[in-house]
Amino acid sequence: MKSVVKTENLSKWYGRILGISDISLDISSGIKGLLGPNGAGKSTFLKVISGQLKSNIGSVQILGQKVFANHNVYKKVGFCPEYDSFYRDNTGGEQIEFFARLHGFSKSEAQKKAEIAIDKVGLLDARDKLIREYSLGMRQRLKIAGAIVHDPEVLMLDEPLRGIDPLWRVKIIQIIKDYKELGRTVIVASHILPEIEAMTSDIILIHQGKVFAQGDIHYIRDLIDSHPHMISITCKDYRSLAAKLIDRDFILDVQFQKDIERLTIKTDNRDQFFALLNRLIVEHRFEVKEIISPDDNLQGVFDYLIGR
Amino acid sequence: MGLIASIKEIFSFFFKQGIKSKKAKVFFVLSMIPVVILLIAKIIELTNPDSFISASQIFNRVMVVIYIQLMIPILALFFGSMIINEEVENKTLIYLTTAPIPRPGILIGKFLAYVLLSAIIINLGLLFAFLVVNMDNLMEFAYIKSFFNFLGSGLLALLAYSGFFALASAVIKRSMIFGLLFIFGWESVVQYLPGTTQKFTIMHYVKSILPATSENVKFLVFRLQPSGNVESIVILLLITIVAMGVASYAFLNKEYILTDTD
Repeated sequence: MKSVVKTENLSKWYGRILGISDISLDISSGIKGLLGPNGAGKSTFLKVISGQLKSNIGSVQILGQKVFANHNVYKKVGFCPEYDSFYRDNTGGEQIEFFARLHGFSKSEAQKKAEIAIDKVGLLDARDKLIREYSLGMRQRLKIAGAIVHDPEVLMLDEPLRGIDPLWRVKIIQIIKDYKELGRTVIVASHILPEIEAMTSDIILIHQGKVFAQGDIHYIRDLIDSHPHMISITCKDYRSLAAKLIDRDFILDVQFQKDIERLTIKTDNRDQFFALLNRLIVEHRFEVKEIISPDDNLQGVFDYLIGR
Repeated sequence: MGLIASIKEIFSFFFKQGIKSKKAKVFFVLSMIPVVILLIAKIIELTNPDSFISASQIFNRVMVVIYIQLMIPILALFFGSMIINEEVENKTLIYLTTAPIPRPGILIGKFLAYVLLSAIIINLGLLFAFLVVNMDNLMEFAYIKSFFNFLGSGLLALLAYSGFFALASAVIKRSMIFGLLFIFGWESVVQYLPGTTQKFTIMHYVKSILPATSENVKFLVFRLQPSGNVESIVILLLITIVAMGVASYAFLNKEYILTDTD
């Protein structure tokens, strides 16, 4: 697949503080989720690949062109920053129209483009209000409108769902997915796993400035097979169940939550554990209310991989 | 988008922003204070012809000093430094530097917008001051010529100072402090030094082109060993062009870290 964003040995530090280190990636069309805790280097990575910051080492190209201070490449890129920053004495409509004008659209085209973008994020009724009167969620949606107003080929979104209400989260996620359907490239950074999970299964895990793992969530899931798994079982006779599990080699740790009658097991062999658990439930008629595995979502993957 | 088109877009947006801003309104009110003082002086002069000082003398001796020597450098410092600083502080620079426009277009567009804004503020003050002082002699050619000379000198001063402070804001983090030290330190002292040393100040060239021939303005040009008019105009324009050229180069190549980054 054609490379859209390509980085080679990308490193960036701020004085003595490491931002990102030795990141080599080849991102093609589709939605790429950039995942990591606060301070992991996600925003730094986005700032370097969007040309706001220079890398100390390595190179970055978007659609085969260098990025820093190369304004020609920005025609094809839409960027939604993490900051809650605006020209607040303008109306939402004026702001987005200005962005469209900077992309070379005539006044009438810019008005039309701005209207479409503002409509997409549901702010048409508020377009003539001053930005300083917008709520946080509205401002966030306005930033997204600014990023998509010129219909970019590459969309970079830094924590795009921050402060947005649940209803609009769903709609914004759909807008992002629609971009994928158009064959565009979307790079979304977030530290909230369910947000990324709702958009894509193609993820890059960043931790301490380095790419920790990348690929399809299922591939990453396979990577952690050698890591211990947590499984929580809510059961009336949780202590009896624990007694029957604890002498097995593949059980590494057992914890109790008396108030909710929950048993949490740590195992390094999920298959053997579940085989045994099924057998015990049937043989001893344990009344199991719930079995949950934190590993079933990205949080589990992420926590294990970064060793938390 | 080309350089000229980007300058036009940026100029248009930031000029409108500037006009609406509270800062511009505050500076406009401040620029009107001398007008009020002159109005009072003129009323006293008209009602009491024997008063020891006329409004015209106050205008020449004090008000010009306030406008030319104080308000212009401060306005230029404020708006010149704001060109980049406000974008960095408000974290809005990102919207401009990720737009498909040449970076120098951002700098020059904002520079021109703020110079025009400053010129309007200063020149309105000067115009009202002139009208008040000369309300009984409005059509006298010498006064009108002198007024336009002040306007022209003020505009050249604004260009040179704004360019200089735009350059400072492009390369120095605390450009406002640097600017204050420059205005109230270097410029305030060195312009009064004898010989060629005073030529290392911007104010030297501004004062050299002021209509300073009248006896009343001697106060303003104390210790001035003026350069020629043409030389002064060329040097003020050169300061503007070189400062904006270097500032554009710096802005083109410099990265601005907006905050502690993730």
